[in-house]
Amino acid sequence: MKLGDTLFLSIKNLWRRKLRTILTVLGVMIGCCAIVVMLSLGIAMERNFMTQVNQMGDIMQINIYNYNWGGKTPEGKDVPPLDDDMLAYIETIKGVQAVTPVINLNVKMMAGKYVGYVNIIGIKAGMFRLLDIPVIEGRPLEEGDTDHMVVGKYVARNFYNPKATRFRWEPAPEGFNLMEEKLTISWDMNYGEKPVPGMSQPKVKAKPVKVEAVGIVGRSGYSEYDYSVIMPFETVLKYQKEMEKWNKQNGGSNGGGIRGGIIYKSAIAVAAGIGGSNDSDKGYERVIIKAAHINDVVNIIDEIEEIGYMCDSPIQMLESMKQQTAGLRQILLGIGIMSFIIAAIGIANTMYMSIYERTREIGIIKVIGARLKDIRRLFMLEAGWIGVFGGILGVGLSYLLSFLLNKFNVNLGGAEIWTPEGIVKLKSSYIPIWLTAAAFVFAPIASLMAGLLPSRRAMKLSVMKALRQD
Amino acid sequence: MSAIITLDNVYRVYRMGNEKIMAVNGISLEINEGEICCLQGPSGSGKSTLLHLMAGLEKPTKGSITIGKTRIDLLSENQLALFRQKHVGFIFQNYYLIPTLTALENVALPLTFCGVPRKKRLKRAKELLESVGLKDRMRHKPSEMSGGQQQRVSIARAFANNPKVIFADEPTGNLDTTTTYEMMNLMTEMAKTWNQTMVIVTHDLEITTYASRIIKIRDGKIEKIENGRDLNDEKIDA
Repeated sequence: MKLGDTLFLSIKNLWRRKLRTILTVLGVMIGCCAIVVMLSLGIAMERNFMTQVNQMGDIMQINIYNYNWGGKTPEGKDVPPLDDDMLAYIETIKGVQAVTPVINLNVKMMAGKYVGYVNIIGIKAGMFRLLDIPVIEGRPLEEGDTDHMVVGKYVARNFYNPKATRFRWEPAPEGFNLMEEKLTISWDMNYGEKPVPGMSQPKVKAKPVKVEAVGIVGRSGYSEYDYSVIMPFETVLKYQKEMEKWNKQNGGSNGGGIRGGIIYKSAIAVAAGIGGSNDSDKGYERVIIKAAHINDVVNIIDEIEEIGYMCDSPIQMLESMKQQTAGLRQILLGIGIMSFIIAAIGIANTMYMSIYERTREIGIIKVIGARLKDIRRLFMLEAGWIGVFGGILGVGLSYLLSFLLNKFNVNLGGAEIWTPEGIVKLKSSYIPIWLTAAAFVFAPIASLMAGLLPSRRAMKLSVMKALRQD
Repeated sequence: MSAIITLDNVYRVYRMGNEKIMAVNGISLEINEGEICCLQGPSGSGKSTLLHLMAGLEKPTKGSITIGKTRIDLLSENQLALFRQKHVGFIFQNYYLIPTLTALENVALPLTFCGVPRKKRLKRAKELLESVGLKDRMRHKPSEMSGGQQQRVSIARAFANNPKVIFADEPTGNLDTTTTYEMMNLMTEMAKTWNQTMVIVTHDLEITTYASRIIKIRDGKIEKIENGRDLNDEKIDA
């Protein structure tokens, strides 16, 4: 018997028992829909976590904070210094794409007639592109840059006119663009201000340094990069040294500030190669690691925490969110699977009924030359069709339900989140393409499995017994 | 004439509780090509069982059955299905048509299982239905036809794949006398035209007048073999 004929005959057989076929198809539809919708809720939840976590920063990045410097690991081991040797070692950990130390420096910046306090972040210029820092104007920081900087989009808000009337605050105007200004920085926090009578002046004047803004950075969410300027690591180190020299010349008291003072010393020491043997040197305050792939992040964190450092990555938040909801998502999936099993039992039941009814017919077609495999195929196909139609309708219903869930905001945990750009609505249900495809494939396969036993039974019916039955 | 069906010492034993029923009790028989052979006997004599054995619908407990050159008692169920597709046609007392298919589709069904393309098999089915006189009933379902018409459809179906042997199990059991004669004339004429061998089971003495040989069965054994009419005679008037 040809496949085309079998297909045709199987549909014809289903159609002659319309009501029962339709009821069974409805069962499959509901089962299929239950699985898809339940999964879509779980998937939406995961995606929402991802959205929320992405607000906190790049999920592929790991920050190492050297809070534990000079301390011991819980096992009592000394924590090794987070120095260049350590960075070189970290770079060899599987999945690490790049590593950069991070240093911070607070300076006073003058831009045209305006001045402002600015936090400089020093990172390796070559790594800038890897850190997922979106440049909205100009260019990113590149290898070979020296006195170049990329400024955060909110940095300009810090600028004001120091020469303005004493009691009137005059901020830089809207649209003030640091890229269009001549920029200089100084360690002297009074740089650019009107001297206040009676306030002591530094003995040695700090010489302003010319810098150039080459790009502007803007993220959608909160990010330290939006409020800071980024410069090449080596340049910032140089500035630090000069600032320290200037501080010493002035008795080490005035003006310039560095976040994490002790650390900056060690950073200089590391950079200058003089502190390597010093016991008190514990290396960089902070290091950023970029992972090559999201699946590597957790492993990298484990390995680094093993050494004794504290790690911080949005992925930790993501993992804990996932863990907290794992139970709920499993229950959802369980409900879906159960509904589908019920639907599959419905298919098997329908097929058995149909075989009882058609026993004599099966006998007849056996007598007139149907082979066993023809009969098996016929009944398998009948079950398969129920799955195909049920699957299609089920996916359709799932999309409808998903749409309604999203529209009426039925949500399992948090309906919206706030970002600097506005409120982002979270989806309650999300059906990815792969889920649709899986439903289309899975429904007929499950139906075929449900049809397996009934069709074997039909195949094994004895001809004479079947014919004698009324 | 050469034998097309050969039975050699065939037994078929049923078990009913502790009792053994010898439905077919050591029958040896040869049926020749082109013969119209009647198996006649009272009900319970084992004539139907004998037919089923010859057609490969049941397996003999003992003995061998050969059709053409094939030992059908040795074939597997799948091989039997293929064998029936190619070489055997059936006509039953209850017609055994598929109720949901039209006359045309019913006749074409054996050809469907053979894998004959749709156009070809429908053409053949049309020709057959015309030759059984159901030209204007082709699109009707069995439930819309009289017993005689249904039996005509079933006859057309039996001839569909042009088999060597046609088995008929009480083909006129449900029909009135006039229709019975019509049916018998039709079947024997068609069989003669295509030089087909026909084995008919009946308890109706009138049918035996169409047969070239009448084999009387009683208690699972051959009681008597009678020669019937010469098949080249004129057909019998109803």
